[in-house]
This record gives sequence, C-alpha cells and structure tokens, in this order.
Amino acid sequence: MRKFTLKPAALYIITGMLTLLLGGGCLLCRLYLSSMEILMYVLIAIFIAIWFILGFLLLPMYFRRTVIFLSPTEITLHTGIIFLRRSQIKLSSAQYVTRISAPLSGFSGFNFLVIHALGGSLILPFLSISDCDELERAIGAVICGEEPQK
Amino acid sequence: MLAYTTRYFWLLIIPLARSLYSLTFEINALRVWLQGAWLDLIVLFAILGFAWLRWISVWVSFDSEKIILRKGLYISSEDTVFYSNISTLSITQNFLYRLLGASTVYIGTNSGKADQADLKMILRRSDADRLYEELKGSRKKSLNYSILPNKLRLIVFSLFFSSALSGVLIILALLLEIGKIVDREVEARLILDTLNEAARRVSLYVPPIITVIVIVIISAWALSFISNLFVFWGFVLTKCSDSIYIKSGVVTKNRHILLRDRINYIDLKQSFLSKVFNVSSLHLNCSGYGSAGRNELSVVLPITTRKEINGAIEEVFPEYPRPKIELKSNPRSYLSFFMMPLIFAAVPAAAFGAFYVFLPTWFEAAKPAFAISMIPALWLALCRALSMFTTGLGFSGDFMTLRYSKLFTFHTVIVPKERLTKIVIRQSPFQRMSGGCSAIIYTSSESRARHLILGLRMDRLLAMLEREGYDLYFREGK
Repeated sequence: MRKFTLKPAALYIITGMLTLLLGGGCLLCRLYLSSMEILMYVLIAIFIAIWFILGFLLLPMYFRRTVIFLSPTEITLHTGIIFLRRSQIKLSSAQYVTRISAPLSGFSGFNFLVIHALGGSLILPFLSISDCDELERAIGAVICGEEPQK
Repeated sequence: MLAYTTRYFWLLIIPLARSLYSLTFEINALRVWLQGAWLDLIVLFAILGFAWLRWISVWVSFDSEKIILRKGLYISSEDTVFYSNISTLSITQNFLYRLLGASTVYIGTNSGKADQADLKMILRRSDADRLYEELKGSRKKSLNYSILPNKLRLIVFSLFFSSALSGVLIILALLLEIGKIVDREVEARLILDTLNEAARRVSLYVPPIITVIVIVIISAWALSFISNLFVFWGFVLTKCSDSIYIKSGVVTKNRHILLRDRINYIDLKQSFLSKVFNVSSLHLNCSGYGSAGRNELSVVLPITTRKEINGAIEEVFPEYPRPKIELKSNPRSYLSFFMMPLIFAAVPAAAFGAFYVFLPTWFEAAKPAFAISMIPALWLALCRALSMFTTGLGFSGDFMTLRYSKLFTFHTVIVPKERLTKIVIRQSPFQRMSGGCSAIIYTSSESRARHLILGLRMDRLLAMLEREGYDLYFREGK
C-alpha cells in the first residue's frame, strides 16, 4: 500500500490568489462604494469572512483530509470537508487516464489525474508530477497485465 | 486546422467572400470594401490564429502498446489509452479530408461516455494508417474470415427497402449542420424556394400540396437509397479470433477495429417491408461503434437475406445461438400494442377537431394536411399489428433473445446473459386485471439500452425468469 497526499504548494497558491482577490475586492469597494459607507463595510466584511473561511478553514481541511491510497488492486480516495467520502475503483476496471496540468504545474502542484473506469471516473486532485507518473505507471501496468508492485 | 475553427468562422467568411466577389475591378472598390470589412477581417484572422494555436498544441504519440493524446494551450490535458482497452478504433476520411490527406480517428473504450468517442483526433492519413497497423499488430494473429455482401443484392434491397423516414432524418441532420453555419432564414428560404418552384411547374395537373408532399417523400427515399449505397459499397468484414475489422464507404471511407469480447449484443433490424419479405440487416452494440453523435450505423452486415444473415452469425459470432422465442406475446393484450398509434393519431385528430370548431373557413384547405399527418399513425398501427404476432423472448444457453418492435423498426436482439443489467416487469391496471405485463430488459451499453417487450403473460414470464435464475420475488411481495 502506497499513500499519496496533495501537494501543499497548491494550497499556498490558492490562498495567495484568494488574498489577491480579497485585496482587489476591497479596493473596488473603497473606490466605488465610498459614498455608501455601511454597504462598503458590510461587503468588505463579507469578503474577509469568505477569505478566512475558505483560505484558513475549508481549504486546509480539504488538503489535510484528502489522501490517496494505491494498493496492488485498487485506488482509494479519501476526501471531504464536512461529509467524508471514500471512493475506490479497481485498477482492473480502469479504461484510460487523463492528466490535466496547468502551466508551472511542477512547482504549483496543479496536476489532476482523471481515471476513467467502467461506469464512472475518479479525479485525483493537486498531485505532484512524480506522484502522477507513479499512479499512471501503476494503472498502465495493471492494464498491460503486468504483476503489480507491492 | 479548419476543424479547430468555430462556426463563427463560416458565418463571417461567407458574407465576406460574397461581398468580395461582387466587387468591381477598381482600386477604389477594394479600399471601400476594406473600410467596411476591416473589423470582420480582424475577427476572421483572430479565429484563424486561435485555431492555429489550438492545432499546434495537439500532440499525438503512439507505440506498440498505447496512444497518448496531449492538447491544450495553457492547461494541458494528456489522455493515455492502452490498446488492450480500446473497444473500437474508427478511422473515417470524408471527401475533403481525402483531398487534404487527413483522417479523423475516434477511439472508444468502455469508460461510459454515452454516444461519443472517448478520444477524437484529426491525423495525417499516413499517421492514422500507422496507428491502425499498430493496433492491428497488438491483436491476436489468427486465421481470418471475411464477409463481402453481394453488390447486386445490396442495390436491389436498398432500392426496395430504403426508408423515406431515414431519408427525412438524413435531411434533418444535413439541415442541422447547414444551420450551424448558415442563417436559419436563408436555409428556410432555400428549401421553400426549391419546393415552390417544383410545385409551380406541375401545378397545372396536380394540387401543389400533394406535389410538395410527393417530392418530399420521393427525395427522402432517394437520399436514403443513395446514402445506403455510398455507406455500404465496398463493405468488407473480417473476423479474427479477438477482433472484427470493418471497411466500408465510397465517398467517406471508414475503417473500424472492434474488440470482440466488448460486444454487448447483436441485433437483426427490419422495417415493415423487409419483415414481410424476410430480409434484414445485422447490427451490433459495442462502445464507440455506430455512435449516434456522428450519424453512423453499427452495421455488421448490410441488408440481405435471412439465410445470409444466419450464415454470418454462425461464422462471425459462433458462440451466439439462433434466435429462440419461448414466450410469445398474448394477442389479447392488443391494447398495449395499439396505445402508441392511438396517441400518434390523437394529436392530428384533435387539431382536426379544433379547426372544425374554431376555424371552419380553413377546414377544407387543411384537409389534405390532416390526411397526410395521419399516415405515420396508420403505418405505426400496421407495424404494431405485425409485431403483436412476432414479439416475444426466450433463453438459449447463456443467451437471451428479445424480439420486439420500436416505432417503425423490428428488432431481434441476442444478448449474453452476463450483459443483462436490469429486468423490469411493468403492469398497467388493465394488465393487472388480465394477468398480462410488459418486460423491460436493460443491457450493458455505452448509452442506455432498453428493450421493451409488450403483452406477455405474467405467470409464464415469472416462471421462465425463475428457471433461468432471475427470481423477482413477486410471490413474496404479495
């Protein structure tokens, strides 16, 4: 059994982007809603609350709770924030794999692996390139009928 | 590269080309044209530039065991498909692509994208050929068996059994495609002008409405006949131990490689006339073959005699038994068969009544249209009447046979028991009183495959299903 976790760099980048969005939103409020002070402060407060809940509670929780287990026969994804979800697919039912990568994904961890299997698909999010390669190799080995690595 | 442009490209280029064509040979005319069309030209070049970027971002590689398709400008997506998981590889070359030396490649797996290929790519002809050979090389080598339909028989049967309905469907699909690139108004005007012109010429002898209807039916039938010939001319099916290779087409050339153990079921399809004359065509259901999304038929053997079809089943699908019907529909349950034609007839009849009551002045003029609109309902009633005596199901070894009609087509489906996914027994209040029922059999397929068998006796069906190991716990439920 091999365990994979999500790349933390992705979390830092998303939080950074959220902070930039917050800054932009607050600036726009200051520029265009200065005549309606109450509305401006309410909106800024909402933006900060969203930023805090997403960036410091939900996303870190999601990154901490999402774990991928690769066994010789299955891939299992444990994820969820409020409702925990465990999804498992048999490697033998995998039909093909799609890897989606953003620019600079080697550094940012914006690599997603979609495993298309009989009757459904499983998305493995925010993986490092080496983890993507390893998972792809494991699935390829099972499809080709090679003995899976323990 | 044109395949990567959007339809707005065609919306722009057609009026631009038209206005350029109507220019006089003066230097000022070109300047005036440029002053009016500069924005359109910029958008056109932007679309072409973006299409070029999309085109150069597609990268395909394949070796002896897998194919990798990478695409995307900013966010790249990479699909890896191993040959052992490819249910169907289809390579098609339409007339334009043949001139340009290109081919469209579709790859279908069992991963469940309904009615569309998992992967679609446009490759150079030579690259598509290499991919075809690589996949062929990955399959088991064995003694091959080929089937070539008799061409004379194909012409004769296509002539007599081509359906005007499928011609209408082809016209609709064609109009839909044209509609994507040409204005709806232009499209409608084109059709109406053509029909009006034809009707005007013979209006001295025959009423215009009848002329128009006859023209539509004859042209739909002729189109269906010609398209059948074009698709199935040069049809060759080669069976190997683990795969089936199919080649067909004159204008658009098609090649397919199907993995035999991915075939869900085989289906003998017949129209009313072909049922009466005992000819049929053999189809199969396999992921990626005959996808509705690309107007393709899942044919194994084009229309021919029943004897040839049986021979083909024995050679290509030796494990499949001859169709065997154990439980036939009960003719007393005629109501379930004629419900659909009654609904079909009710709509024009209601409109007919409404005209009679509310628009009596239009009533006489609308009579021929109502008469014509009743034809599908009558035809369906005729199909259903025949179907009442042929519908049924049965088991033979590890296979199930389902014989039923769906709208105007008669089906005889032979499906391995392992591919049955769900069995539903449905009873209407009338059927509950008479002890009848309808069986709905669901089979594995990339899209929903539902077979409805009407008018069965409930007790006999339950006994037969129980014998085959499908206990639906009806008795415990009571």
